[in-house]
Amino acid sequence: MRANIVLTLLLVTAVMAACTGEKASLVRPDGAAPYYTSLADAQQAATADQLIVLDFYTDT
Amino acid sequence: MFINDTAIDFFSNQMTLVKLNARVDTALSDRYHAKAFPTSLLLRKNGDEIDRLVGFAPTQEYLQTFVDYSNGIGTLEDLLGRAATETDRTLYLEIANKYKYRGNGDGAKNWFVRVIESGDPLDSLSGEARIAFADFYRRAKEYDKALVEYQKIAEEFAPPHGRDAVIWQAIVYRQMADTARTIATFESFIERFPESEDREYAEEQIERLKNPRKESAE
Repeated sequence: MRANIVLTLLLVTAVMAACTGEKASLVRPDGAAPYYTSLADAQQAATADQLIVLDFYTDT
Repeated sequence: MFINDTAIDFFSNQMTLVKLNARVDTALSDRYHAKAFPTSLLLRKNGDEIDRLVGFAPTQEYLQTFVDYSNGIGTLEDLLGRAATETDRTLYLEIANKYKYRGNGDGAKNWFVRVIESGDPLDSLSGEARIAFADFYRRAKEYDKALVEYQKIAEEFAPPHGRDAVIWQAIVYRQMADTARTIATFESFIERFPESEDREYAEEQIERLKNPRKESAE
């Protein structure tokens, strides 16, 4: 039952993202700036003159 | 993550933020020659680099840097334009470092040489340039040349550069897997600079090298 609910939620999220044109790699953390985890997606989403800040980090 | 309201607004409305783990996205970190972390690049939509910021910066300073870059202020192109009319060794050093971070070794070396040749060859700016120059040899694994350079700096410069050069010598010996010389150089460092904040680091290195089994057991 719980698995079905999760699956449905994921499906709804994917459909909504597809409808709005929002990329799957766009992360919108609560109370923090949105960011992409894919440069290609960010390039597609950016307007013609919009600049991109590419932040490389390491977890070590 | 940027939790500052200004940053949230900035990355929601002005610029697009991409966060990549350089250890995972190695193709892109190699393509953009990101070797020190964090490194943040300002790109055009087509992926061309405008400029970059290496290292941590407070959020406001971080955002302002990219606003300035987007207006052509503080970029490599801007600094090169200023260097054509100004004699400013700090500016030359800034240009050299920008080339270095972009992976343009020849460009960086030219400007580091200009720093040294256009002022007192034994002042602090020259020391910084000399250390950076020796570092090129170390990174290229030309250890003999690196050791010669670090030795000269250690002899010719007062701290901090003369002191740092000794630490770098020890690191080169460690990269060469020459344990005896690594320990001897770290010991020499502690003897010569007992008050240095790097003393603890040197002592840790000596301990690790003298007791490798203990370290692996932990």
